[in-house]
Amino acid sequence: MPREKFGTLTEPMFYILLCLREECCGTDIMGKVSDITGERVKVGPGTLYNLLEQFQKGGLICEMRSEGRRKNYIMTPRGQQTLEHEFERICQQAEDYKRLTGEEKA
Amino acid sequence: MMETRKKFYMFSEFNFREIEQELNQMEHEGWHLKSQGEFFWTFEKGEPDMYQYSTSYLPDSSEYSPEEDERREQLNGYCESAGWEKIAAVGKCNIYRNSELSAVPIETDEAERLNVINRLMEKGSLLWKKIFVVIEIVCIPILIAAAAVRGELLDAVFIRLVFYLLTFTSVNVAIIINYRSWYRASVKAVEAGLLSVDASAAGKRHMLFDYLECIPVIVFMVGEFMVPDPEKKMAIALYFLIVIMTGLHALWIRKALRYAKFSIAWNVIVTSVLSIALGIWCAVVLTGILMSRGILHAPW
Repeated sequence: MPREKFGTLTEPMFYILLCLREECCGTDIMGKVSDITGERVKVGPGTLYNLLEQFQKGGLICEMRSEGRRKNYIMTPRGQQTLEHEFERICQQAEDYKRLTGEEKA
Repeated sequence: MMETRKKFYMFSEFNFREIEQELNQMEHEGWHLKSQGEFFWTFEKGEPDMYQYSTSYLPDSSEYSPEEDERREQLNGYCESAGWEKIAAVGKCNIYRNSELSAVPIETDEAERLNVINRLMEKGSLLWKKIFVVIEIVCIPILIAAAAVRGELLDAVFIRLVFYLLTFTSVNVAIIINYRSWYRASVKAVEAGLLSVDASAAGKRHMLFDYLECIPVIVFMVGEFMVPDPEKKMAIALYFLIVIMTGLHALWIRKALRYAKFSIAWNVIVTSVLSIALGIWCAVVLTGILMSRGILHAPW
């Protein structure tokens, strides 16, 4: 897709990175995202695989341990920075919404 | 004994939705996918609507990748944990099924799915088409200039050669434009919150253009077959048979090496060397027989 890579994160990207603040196995991420969001956001296994691969290539996460099929990942400082940047962007959106709708109500 | 049925399918790589629709339709008729061969897909008779099928792609894999490599194993592991059982895998495409009809889909992000499809196309078949187009565009003016210098512009062999090159170039350009049009339309659709555009028509055009690449070969065969001598006709048919057998032989070797877990590089090397060696050996033996019978004559 012609968008700046990880300039903005999609919801699945955001929640996958959020799960990887602590070391986590790929297969557990799907369940964690579902739990965190109260099943509002679901990440399919194919989407998860490709996003983890891209995050790893982009230096946002790194592989910690590997036991057969089970691979554990954790977010890197660069991933943390990307996540924080996305959080600030979302907050800014919320602030803009509050300010504009607040003005309208007043 | 379980009733089975084989079906011939040729899908273009980016036409994932038609693969899924076809498999789900077969399932609806009570035919469960059992395995996927180079040309024929095998189905087993059973209860209808027991499974739903889905595809997932590994853009960095190829037709030469080991049947079960680390990346595929990892993807299979994620899919299994979500209830998706791997049924078949050829090249970059993996096919899964799930008995839970309300299971979380394998691909939940359409933009990401489109991104993967585009990566596999750009790194795979489309890359080769682009390389061929560049080579052909460079070669055609050089050939024309060389023929003009030698005064052979109206020579039959030269005209045929230019015809082959122009046909290949046009077909390759058409394949690239066809895919890019589908991709651009899909990007727009996904950005508007829709699914990627149905690739059935673009996929069929892609396959048709691929077949059109055979036209120069067919024209060449028909042209050569016009010779009046029946023994020479037989000789041409035998050479053609060698080409087909070499191609099939390459497919079999490639498949065997994939199951033997050869790496991509070793699979490419061994398949190429063995297939070329077999082709050359058969051609040399055939030429020897034809020369001993006086059908062919040495140029010296």
